[in-house]
This record gives sequence, C-alpha cells and structure tokens, in this order.
Amino acid sequence: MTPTLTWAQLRDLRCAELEEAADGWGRSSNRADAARDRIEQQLLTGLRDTQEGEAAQAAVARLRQLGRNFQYVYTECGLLRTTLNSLAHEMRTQQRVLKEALDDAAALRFTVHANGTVTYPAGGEGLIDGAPLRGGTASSSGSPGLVPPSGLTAPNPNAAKAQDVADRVTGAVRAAAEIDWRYAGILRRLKAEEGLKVPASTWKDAAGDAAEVRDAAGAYLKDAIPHGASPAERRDWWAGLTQEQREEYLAVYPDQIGNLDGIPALVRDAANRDNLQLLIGKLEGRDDERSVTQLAGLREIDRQLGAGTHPPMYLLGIGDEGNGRAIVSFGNPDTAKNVAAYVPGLNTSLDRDFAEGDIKRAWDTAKGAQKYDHSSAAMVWLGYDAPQFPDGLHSADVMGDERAETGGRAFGSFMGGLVATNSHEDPHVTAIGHSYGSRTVGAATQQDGGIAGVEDIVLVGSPGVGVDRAEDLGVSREHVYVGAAENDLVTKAPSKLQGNMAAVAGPVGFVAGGLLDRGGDDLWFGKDPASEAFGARRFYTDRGPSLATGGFDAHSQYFDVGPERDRASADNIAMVVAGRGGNIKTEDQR
Amino acid sequence: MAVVQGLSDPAGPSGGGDCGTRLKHSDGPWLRAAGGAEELVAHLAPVRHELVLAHQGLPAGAGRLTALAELAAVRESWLRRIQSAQGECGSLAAGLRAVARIHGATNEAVRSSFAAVNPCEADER
Repeated sequence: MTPTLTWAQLRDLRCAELEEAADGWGRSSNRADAARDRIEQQLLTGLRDTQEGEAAQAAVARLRQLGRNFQYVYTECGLLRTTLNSLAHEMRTQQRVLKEALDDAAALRFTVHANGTVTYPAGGEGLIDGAPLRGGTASSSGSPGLVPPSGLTAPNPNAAKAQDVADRVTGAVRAAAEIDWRYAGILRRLKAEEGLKVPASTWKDAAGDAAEVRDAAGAYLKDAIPHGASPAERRDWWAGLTQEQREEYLAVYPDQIGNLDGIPALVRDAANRDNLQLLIGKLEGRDDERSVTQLAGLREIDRQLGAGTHPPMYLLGIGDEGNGRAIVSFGNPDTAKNVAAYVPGLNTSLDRDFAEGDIKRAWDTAKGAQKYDHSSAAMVWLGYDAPQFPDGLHSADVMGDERAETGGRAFGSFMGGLVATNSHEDPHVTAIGHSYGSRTVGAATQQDGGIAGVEDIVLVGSPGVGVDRAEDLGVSREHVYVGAAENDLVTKAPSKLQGNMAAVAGPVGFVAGGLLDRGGDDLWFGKDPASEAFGARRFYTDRGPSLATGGFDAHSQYFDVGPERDRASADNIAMVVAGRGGNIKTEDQR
Repeated sequence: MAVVQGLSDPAGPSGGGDCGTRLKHSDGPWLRAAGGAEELVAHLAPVRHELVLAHQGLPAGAGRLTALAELAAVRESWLRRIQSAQGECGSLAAGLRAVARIHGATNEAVRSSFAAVNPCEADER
C-alpha cells in the first residue's frame, strides 16, 4: 500500500469533524430505533390485540417488516457512528506521534520537508580540525543522508536525531494511511442494502459488520466493560455512562451488554432483540445439527416476541455458546415486586422444545402469580449447559455435580443482577428449580452469601439438591417448597450409595444399598426434598400418570395449567411466587 | 361491538356498544395506526438534513482520507433506504386509513339495516 497522505495532511486532519459526522449517524440510528419502538409498542399492539381478519393480518405483517427494517437501520447506523468515532480515535493517536516528532524537530532547528525527509544543521566537532561537521538530510527509508559522513570522521550528532524524527514522522503517516485504508474497507461494507426487506442473509452480513467494527474499535471502546465487577458495580458503571456511550456499547457489543448481570432489564432486552436477529443471521444456512436445532429455537422466540404477550416478554439473555442460552421473562423484573426465575433441568437446551415448553412454563407462572399480585414477573433461566439425555443416564454430566456447580455460579450472578436493578427496596425473589435445575439451584445456594435476595425456593421433580436439610439452602425451612408427584420417578431416583452398590453387585447390591439408607429418603443428589427429614413444605401436586400409562410424563407436569391437567401444582407455585406461600395446598411429606 | 361508534372511537373494541356482541373490528386502532405511521413520516423527515449537516465539515477537515470517499457512497445508500422506509410509512398510513373508511361505511350500512330490529331492546326484555 502506498501512503497517500502527507504528514502535513495528517497534522491538519480535524478529527472533530469525523466525530461530528459520527454524531449524525448516531442521530439517524436513534431515529430508526424510536421508529421501531413506535411500531412495536403502539402501531402493532393496537392492531394485533384488537383486530382480526385478513386486512389486519396483512397490516400487521407489513408493520412488522417495517419494524425489522428500522431495527436494521438502527443497528447499522449505530455501527457507522462507532466506526467514525473509532477512526477519529486512531487518527488522533497518530497525530500525537507526529506532533511530538515535529515539536522535537522544531526544538532542534531541523527542517521537516513535505516528503518526510529531515534536514539537520552542522554540529559536533571534526576529529582532525575540530570544526563543526556538515549538516545533512535524513530519510526514514533508511538510505543515508544526501551528504553521508565520512567513515573517518565522527558523525554529526544531529544525524541520529534527525533520523529518529524522520522515522517517527514517516511511521505516523504510514500508520495513518493504513488506518485510512482499513476503515475505508469497513465503511464500504456498511453500505445499505437496497429496498425495505431484511432477510436473514442481511442479518448475517450485519453480524459480520458488527464483528468487524468490534475488532476495529477495540482500541476505542477497549476493555471498559467491567466483566470482573459485581452486578451492583456493573449497574453503577452503566448508570455513569453518557447516553452516547451507552448507545455505542449497545451498537457494538449487544451480545455482551445483553447478557451482563447488573444491566437494567430494558437495556438487556433491547440489546438481545438485536442479538437475536444477529444470531439468526449467523446460524442461517448452516447445516450442522447444533446450528439447525438452535436456529429453530431462536426463530420460535422471535415469533413470540413479535406476536406480543401479556404480561410482556423481555429477552434478558440469548446466546449460542454450548447448548445455547436464553433467559426470557414475562413482566419487567426491574419494576415487579415479585420476581421468580425458573431453572430448567435435564435435557434442556436452546431448541424448539425449550422455546415452546419451558418459556410457556415461565409465562404460565407469571400469569398465575399476577392473579394474586399484579406486580409479578416470572422467567425461565437457561444460563448454563444442562446435562443432555442422549449422553446416557449414567453419563458423568447427568449423574455428576459439575454442570450444577458451574450453572449455580452463573445463576447466582444473574440473581445478583436482578436484585441490583430491581426498583423495589425489598423485592420478593423466588428461585425455582425443576429436575436437575433444582440441583443447580441447590448449588447456587451454597455460594458465599447464598443466592442474592432469594426469599423463597421452589423445588419440583427434584432428584435431590446437594444438601440434606431445607434450612441449608440459605432460607428458613418454611420458605422451601417442594413439589414431588407420586408417579414422578425422578423424585424417587435411588441414592448414589444404592446406585453404586447396584453397579458393583447388581440387584443384590441395590437392595443392600437401600437397606443402608434406613430412612429410605436418600436420592441421587442427597436427601429427598419431599421427605420429612429434609423438612421443606411439600405442596400438593397431581400424582401424574404412572410409568405404565404415561412413561416419565409425571416429571413434566408441575407447571401445567390445564384444562386437561390438574393445575393445583401450578397454582401452588404461582402463590409462592406472588408471596402468598402461606396459602398453598400442602401434602404430607414422604 | 355490534355497531362501530364512529371514526374516532377512542376505546377500541372493548369500549363499544352495550349489546354484548362484538365484531373483531373497530376503526379506532386503524386510525391510530394510520396516524402513527404518518407521524413516522414526519419523524424521519429531518434525517437527510441532519446527516448532510453532520458531514459538511468533513471535506475541509478530513477530505484527504480515502475512507471519506467511501463514506459519501455509504451515506447515499442509507438515505435511499431511509427514504424508502419513509415512503412505506406513508403508503401504510394511506392503507390503514382506507381500511377504517371502508369498514366505517360498511358498518353504517349494517346499522341502518338492523335499526328496525333493535336487538339490544330485545335482549333487555
């Protein structure tokens, strides 16, 4: 690449003009964002919720497409803003290098020529006659000056200094030219596609654009996101940013801001709606099984976000790492007095089943809780890699604690974020664990200080939670609620002792292991939470179908709201979430 | 509602007549959506001027950069895209308003033809 800039042009470059242009793109981005918001919050809601028929469907489809279009404009104009700010930032760095070199040259009375060569005056003393050595010209190409010093004479001390100045001047100009060339490429790829539609391929390009701008802007926005801080510190960091800074972080790092505990729910939701589109674009067209599975889950979440729900849906987390991540809340957890997070278990991953089933559980829980207290929000938290059934029931993942421990730490951080951003002085927070998710909740309670802010814990379909007594979960035993359907075999999984003895000695060992567990209340991950020895409050649940008639179905019906199922379990959960745990319908402990 | 209350029905379908039967159509939401779409046209109107203004210092201040040559083309592409969106808002507004008008006329005709029947009074008896 041939530098097209001269040092004088670099010196005179007005970076403030670039920043002024960046501000213009920021305004366009904000206008597009406001337009999208207006479409989704007012125009779409008004028609979708009240009108039916072909005209309404057509209008809603067109409005939705227009909303997508504005989301695309918002995203890309935001990237343009950061690109120009970052360009200004990098150019300023080179201007500083250049200015220091020019200042040094002036102090030494050197002349810096338009082509970057540096002329220096006579100086030093000749070895023979003591007369000053002749001056010369240094050039950064490494070629000697126009009048090279003789090998028999001491060099003019100005020569080395001039060489240094020339090298710095030329270095700054070359670096600036490289920056210019690099950003020209980025800008070229940020051109708008023609038309109104935003197909997945466009989002795929947008995902590439975001990654490129992120790489380029590393020096500009570098490492400022406080990943190592506590949720409360992150909340304060965000609160301390200017509006422009927030907008830039959202434009360039939506994946990080959207999934950062301590960032307000509305901000996470906005970032993750962008993430969702970018992820769909990223996975679109891939044919590996994991991508196809996750894409189906993402598309279903996207459909539900577009369809509108009551209570409204907030996307508090989304990602494609591991088995996928998704945190979906119904009701704003920052403004609700009652907030509940449900941790799903075995075999959960970001797929269509999750998007249709687990998310519905959160929705039903939110609706149920709002019947008792309108200020309630409930969410599903898939913030960890739950063990997967295809690995086999006896795999280390399913039978081990590691996934629960890792997930428990992530869940603890997330709950800390919820408490940090909730507007109530004393929010009522409930942690709900289903199946292996209850083991994960159990692990979260064993961290220093337990789970931040959690007052009530609900365990359903639990194979044990890693502790043997309810009060060891960090809340008093009256605040631990357990649902264990009589026909749910997971709540009767044999203890490790029994299982291990069976592995060693077959059926005889299984029976012998059972005999050693004299209370008969040990499960795989510790004491049966439904047992008298554990000491929690067991709430009534339907027995569920037997193994013969329904297989493992009894394990999956705790959140069912009917009409075909007994909704007592779901109602009990909703009461606890709404802070009415005293009203649940109880059942005798085992 | 059995009969649409009028073009400016502010409450939507839930604020309709008292007869207990409701059509899944009312003018209010259509007109509000049309009004909202028209507001978006106005909301987007300043974009061109704002962007031009934001870039006007660049030729003198940073005109030598290759990146700026690209930026001009980029700007034009986005102005076209935003203009298309603005056009779509206007077109949508007209369409939404037309639906409200057609349904308003239809419902008025329905009301006239059912006026003699007066099902509300019949229900009350």
